[in-house]
Amino acid sequence: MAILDHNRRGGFTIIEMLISLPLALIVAGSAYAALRVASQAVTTATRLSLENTMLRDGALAANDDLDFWTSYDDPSDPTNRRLRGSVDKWWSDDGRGMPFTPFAALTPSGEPVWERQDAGVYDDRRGWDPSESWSAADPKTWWRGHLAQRKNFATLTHGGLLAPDLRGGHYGIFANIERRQHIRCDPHTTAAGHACVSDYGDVGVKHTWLANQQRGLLRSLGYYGIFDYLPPNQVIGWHEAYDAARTDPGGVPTGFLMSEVGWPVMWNGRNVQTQMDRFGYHRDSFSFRYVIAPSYGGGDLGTLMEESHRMVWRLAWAADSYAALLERIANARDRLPLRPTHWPAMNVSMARFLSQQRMVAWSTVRVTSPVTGDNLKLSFTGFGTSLRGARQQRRPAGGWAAWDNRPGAINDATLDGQQ
Amino acid sequence: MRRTFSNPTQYTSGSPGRPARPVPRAAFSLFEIAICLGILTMSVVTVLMQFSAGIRVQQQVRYRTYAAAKAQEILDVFATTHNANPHGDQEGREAWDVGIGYSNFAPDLERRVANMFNGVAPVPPSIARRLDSPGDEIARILDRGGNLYYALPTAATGLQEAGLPRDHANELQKVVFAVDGYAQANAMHGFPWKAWPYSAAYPSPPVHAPNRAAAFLPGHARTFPLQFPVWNDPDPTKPRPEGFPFYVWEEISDPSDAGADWPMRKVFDWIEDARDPAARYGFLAYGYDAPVQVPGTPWKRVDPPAFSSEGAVRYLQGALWYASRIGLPQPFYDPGPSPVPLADPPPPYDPDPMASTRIFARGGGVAVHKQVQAMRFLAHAATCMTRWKTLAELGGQPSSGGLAVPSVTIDGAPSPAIILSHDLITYYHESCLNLAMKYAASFPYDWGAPRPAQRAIMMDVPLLEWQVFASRSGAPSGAIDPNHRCEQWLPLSAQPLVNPGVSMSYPDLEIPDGRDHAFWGDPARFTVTAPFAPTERCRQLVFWSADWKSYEDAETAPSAPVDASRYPIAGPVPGADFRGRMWATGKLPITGGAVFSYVNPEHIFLFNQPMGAIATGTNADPFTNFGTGQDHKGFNPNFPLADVLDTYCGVHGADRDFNRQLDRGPVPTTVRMRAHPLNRFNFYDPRIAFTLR
Repeated sequence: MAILDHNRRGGFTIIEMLISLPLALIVAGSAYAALRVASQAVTTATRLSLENTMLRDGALAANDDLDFWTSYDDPSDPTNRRLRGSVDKWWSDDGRGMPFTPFAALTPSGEPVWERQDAGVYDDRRGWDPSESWSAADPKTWWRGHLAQRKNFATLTHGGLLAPDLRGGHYGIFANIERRQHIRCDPHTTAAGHACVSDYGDVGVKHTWLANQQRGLLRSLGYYGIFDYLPPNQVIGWHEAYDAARTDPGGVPTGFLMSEVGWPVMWNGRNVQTQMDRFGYHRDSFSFRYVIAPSYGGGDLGTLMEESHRMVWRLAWAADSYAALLERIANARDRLPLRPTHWPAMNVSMARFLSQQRMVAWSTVRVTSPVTGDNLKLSFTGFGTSLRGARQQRRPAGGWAAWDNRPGAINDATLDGQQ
Repeated sequence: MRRTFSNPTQYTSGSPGRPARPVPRAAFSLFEIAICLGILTMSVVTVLMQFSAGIRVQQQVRYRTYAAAKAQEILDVFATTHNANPHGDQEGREAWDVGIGYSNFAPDLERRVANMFNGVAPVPPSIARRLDSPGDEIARILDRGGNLYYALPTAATGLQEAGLPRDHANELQKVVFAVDGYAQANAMHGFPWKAWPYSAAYPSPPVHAPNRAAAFLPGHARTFPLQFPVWNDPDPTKPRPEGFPFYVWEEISDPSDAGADWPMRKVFDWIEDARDPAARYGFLAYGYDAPVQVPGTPWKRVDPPAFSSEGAVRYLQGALWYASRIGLPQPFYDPGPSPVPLADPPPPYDPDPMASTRIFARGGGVAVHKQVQAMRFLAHAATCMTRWKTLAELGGQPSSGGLAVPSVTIDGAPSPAIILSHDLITYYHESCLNLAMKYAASFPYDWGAPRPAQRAIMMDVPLLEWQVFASRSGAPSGAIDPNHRCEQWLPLSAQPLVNPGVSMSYPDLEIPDGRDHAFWGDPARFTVTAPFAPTERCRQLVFWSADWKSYEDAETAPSAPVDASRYPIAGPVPGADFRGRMWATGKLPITGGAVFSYVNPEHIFLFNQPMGAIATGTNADPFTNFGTGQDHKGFNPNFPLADVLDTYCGVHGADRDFNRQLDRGPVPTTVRMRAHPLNRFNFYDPRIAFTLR
């Protein structure tokens, strides 16, 4: 039989309590701290992970855009094809298309943006032919003109080859917009008193293909488009009927005469002009000051036409000179419009322009904290599809164009085709 | 668990004399608890460490994303940046006189990418040396003369940072990178003695332009003291301003033209009779309506003016005389009625630019470059007539008859008489382009005639490289120390160069042709076209993460030394020593955005004065180039040279995060920092310069 031990204690001693309570407090405190740190760490890691995921997603989206140009024109989204319009308002009849306007489209007045005509041979073809190789050995691709051609009589007084008085003669007799052209003289006189003697006459012109290609591309696509489509070794500028308001005395559109120097634009990897002056031989890049961009920015179509995608931005180095340009063309878009409110905002922008004779596609991924407003930014450029390639990815009526290079395969029509 | 006793003196009751059995207590001893707590603490700490490790992993993941994007951008820039070399002098009297002789802009990634427009600059070496990396890879690269790079705040936009909107620094700057592996010998990007390819418009008159000084003109070069605007002035009696002399580069550039008569002079300017100002042939009188000056009398224009139909005829007569004088047969310049342009083969065109060159067979054995030149001048001179005569006066189209261009005696020989018609003008023009294009495409190592400016092709750029097993030495132009010597490798070309002529900048120096092996290297050493194994040329782009911006001197540490090839040095200039050529040229400001390939990559951020006394957080705009364009105190040549060069070299540091304030981080310079490896990318430098688009 068990004997009850009245001396047995049923609880902790005070010593035990004094020891255990601090220990428990330490443990509890540590646990709390650990949990708190863990919670913060988990929160931080989750935030980092989420931001990283967003960054990666943004980078992937930007890379996708490099190849498919969906921020400028989305074949799958009818609401995002604003660069397919056409207008007739800039440079009188020269303003017709936009970077994604199908060549076969009609302007509001019912004219084709750029009609293809295969009639005739060789130099008589018109419109854009995607199969044309633009071989450097093909004489119809050679620019024919006077590289020292200057602007109109009234504004320039330079002498010699630089004189704006047709000193080198009429080069419109070799290549022109029209097969038959009345070659006129500017009736004005130069500051030195020189005037053109008389009109040359009605001339049958041998080379008309290149002039029509250049004018057609400018009309249809704008400045960015013409530089994208033409081979990089092209001089740009063509002869057409003389018009005192729009062309130089020889008929070269003044819009394509460089304002500082007055001769036709050349956009190439080397250069238009070998300069030799008192400091020696330079290869100058006249285009380096120019930023040429297709725009998606705000405003109506007219604003886009006149101020944006066709624009040649001549920018100084002064602070914030590029801000307006970049804001207009960057086309930032929210990648997660339906995100939870506590998630960061994430947008991706893609600004495409030409600078330093390089076609720049500048992506910026921004992740913005909803609490602090802090920005996380990843900014990079990449090499992707040209505008010409992007147009060939698209069907004129929307949707992506299927393409198969197997012999006999029938491919979808593209924005470059003529249907 | 071992049982314990709360009080070993307590025993259960039992038999007397026998110790009672101890009563076990179900509790832990303090020792056990201590061990448990220790284990628990270790576990918690371990778990906590995992959390921080997880954060670090996420950060590394982010940096890897940055690194991958940056690598993509670097290679994009590498492949798509144009090859032109804006505004930098490319010709010297010797290869060591100009930056391009030091391989600047060679097709090498670091040379091409690390500049202020392309988003890459070297980390200051004093900071880079504090970064420890696995295997001491960073230190090894620095020891070899390489650089550690960081990304400028924005991407490689091609836009100057000063023109961009202000933006905060981004984490991308915590990613640093370097190129591991040596640059290989690739094709020479420019020939320092002559910046070939020279381009000229086709058709055009002989190339003529000012030269920096008569000191570099050979004795037989003719100079013309007047300048364009003055010549076109209606009052030719005005006092003439001083100007740099013009000379006709092309009439002295062709060594095969050397002789008593210098035939191309008749195309540009030839005064047959000094007493008769109208007896002046060539382009000069016509093109510039050039006034003349009989010694002792005022300048005056000829009457009738040289810029006239008569003047244009005399220009054409000079061009015809040249064609005849160099031996071209009559059918070349006077093909008769209904002329068919020289073409090879018949139209529409020759799809193979390297096809046989039978187009030159009509030239009667005259050197091909001379045929090209003769037709270029004829086409230009003949087209000038369309300014003065109507189509009807030129025989209509198709032409029947035309303008009689009589024979004249020039320098004792007659010029051919022709009937100039519209069809003949068209023949000249078409033949001119056909000949020039064929010549440029087929003879890349014949530099006898400039390349057509309206069509740049790869054949314009011959394959040249440095032979790195032999060299020449000499004194630099304008040397401050006469004992100073420079040394440079010998140039090599894929095929022997013919008709190299002289350069525009230094026409007094004959450039040896390919037969001169004292100048040109051993052809057997030419490697540009040789096959190679990938392992011979592979390089790696290596990325690390390191918070180097936390250093207290992250913005005040001096820039990396600027490679000599980046100095924006002008070519030799009379009266200017080596130092003077670096900054005082006016046309070659070290500020210019145009010369971005020649400046310190941190150029736009550089501080222009010692920043030691400037408080952290101070607005940096007054001390940098932001927003002030190119006229900046620190770069102004009116300021002491030492100040300018200190600024240019980045002695005072730079606002490297572009937040436009002076920042100092919390980490002292005595602390070393760990650089964590991120990514590695293999790449190759191209053997020749190219541009993708």
